Amino acid sequence: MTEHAKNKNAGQGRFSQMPQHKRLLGVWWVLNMLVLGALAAYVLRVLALS
Amino acid sequence: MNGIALSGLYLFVVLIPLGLAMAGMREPRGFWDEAASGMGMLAFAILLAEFLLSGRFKAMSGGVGMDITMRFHQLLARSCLVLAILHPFFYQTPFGRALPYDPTRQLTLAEPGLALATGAAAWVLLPAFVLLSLARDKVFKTYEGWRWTHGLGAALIAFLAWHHTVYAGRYAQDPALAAVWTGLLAIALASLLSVYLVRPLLQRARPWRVASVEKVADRTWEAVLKPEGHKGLEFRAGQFGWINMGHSPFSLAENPFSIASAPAESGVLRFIIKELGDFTNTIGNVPPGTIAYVDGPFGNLTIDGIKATGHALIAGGVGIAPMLSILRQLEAERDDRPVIVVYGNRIADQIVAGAELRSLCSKDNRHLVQCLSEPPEGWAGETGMLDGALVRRVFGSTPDPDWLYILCGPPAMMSGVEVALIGLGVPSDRILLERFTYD
Ligand SMILES: Cc1cc2nc3c(=O)[nH]c(=O)nc-3n(C[C@H](O)[C@H](O)[C@H](O)COP(=O)(O)OP(=O)(O)OC[C@H]3O[C@@H](n4cnc5c(N)ncnc54)[C@H](O)[C@@H]3O)c2cc1C
Repeated sequence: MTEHAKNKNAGQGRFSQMPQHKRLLGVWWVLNMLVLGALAAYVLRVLALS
Repeated sequence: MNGIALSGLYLFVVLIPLGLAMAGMREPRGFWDEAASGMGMLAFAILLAEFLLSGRFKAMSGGVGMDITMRFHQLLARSCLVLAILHPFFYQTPFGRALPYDPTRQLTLAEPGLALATGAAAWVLLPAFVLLSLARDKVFKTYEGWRWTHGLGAALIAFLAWHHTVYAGRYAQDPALAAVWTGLLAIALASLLSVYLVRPLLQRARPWRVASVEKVADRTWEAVLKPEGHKGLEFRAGQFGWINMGHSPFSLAENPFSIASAPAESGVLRFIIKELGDFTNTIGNVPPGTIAYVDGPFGNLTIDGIKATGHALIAGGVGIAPMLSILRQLEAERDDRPVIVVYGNRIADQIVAGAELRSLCSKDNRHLVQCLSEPPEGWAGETGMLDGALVRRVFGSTPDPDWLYILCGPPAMMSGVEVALIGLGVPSDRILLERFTYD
């Protein structure tokens, strides 16, 4: 990658250097994790209440 | 709606039921039973959210693009399926009658009955439905047949799952949660009605007529549509529409095609259509005067409103259609920013609008690079595939990151070019792409 481009990209993170399909998979993965996190909170409340 | 808003809305819809169940006053059952009920609720909520990500809702797909929305729909189907399949296996509480001293039904699961039968039916149908979608091309003779099955099948599974959730679900005995489930089901079914009924009705009031269909290259045709009694379609260069030629507006025999004409050519719509299957193989037989319907515009392969010091239009095969629209519009607006058009085909006979492209790119700051993988003798352009190597030859090792790079063509070409551009330092948000297939 050129210096110019590196400077431009600085701060934008790895996400902006991923092809579109990988970004989509990344978003899907994060959403799945958030949903599973919510499921964990939902299930673990049983322990908190008991 | 941009990606973040769309993800936020998805999470909101999917997590509301779980949140309401947690907030409800009902004592939870044991750990494993709660895991089972949680998975069931999530699976059903994702199933319902899928309806909004499946149809042609500009509010949903307008920001991220139709192809991304459809891909997201396919990925979420997998999440839904896993949760739905696991759901029944985690229950440990026995089935049984409601006990008089257990009004909140902590000690027994609903007795086997209709509500369990509907759940079981949905549980069996859902994997079959997903498998059918994955094997679509092999199972269905026509794309329309698949669309009918997918729409009606989804509605059936959603209804069965709703019945099971509301009548067998313990938390859904809470009226607020039951109302949320019913509301979400109603929205999901309304989305189907909107696609299958309301839109066709609106389209019926705005018919088009085929003005001409002419062969413009090997197995490639240009179809021109004229509005019949209305002003036409407002769209942005690079967008596409679902086109129905010669069928009732209620028919699902419609196909997505990029608009190749510029918005500045008020009224008519031009399409470049490549012979590829049932409908497109017969496009040459569509007589002028045929009634047509256009649902659109959709898609965000468009440069409007995006700051750029120049444009690179990179097209493979019939992917030239949206590029022609963009180039024609730039010309109509006398836009003097630099443009590089990179256009790849297999053979010279496949080149569409070659003379026009050469004329549009004859200005000082415009440049046309043509590439053929099977060039004829004496071919003066580039040879080989439109791939990363060609991108490096055309744009050098430092493509300008302030330009916009617009890609459309076969999937392998787009992936190769996208990866090459990113490798050369172009941020991915400077690359726009539109896929012609969703799989
Ligand atoms: C956004 C977009 C823009 C497109 N623009 C153009 C264009 O400008 N010029 C061009 O020649 N082609 C374009 N296509 C591809 C074109 O839609 C298909 O080639 C065409 O629909 C094939 O129809 P068929 O009946 O001939 O083939 P079929 O034998 O019915 O189907 C072949 C394949 O085409 C796809 N397809 C068919 N019908 C549909 C549909 N209703 N919706 C989505 N996909 C479908 C499916 O992947 C299917 O497996 C575009 C596709 C998309 C998604």
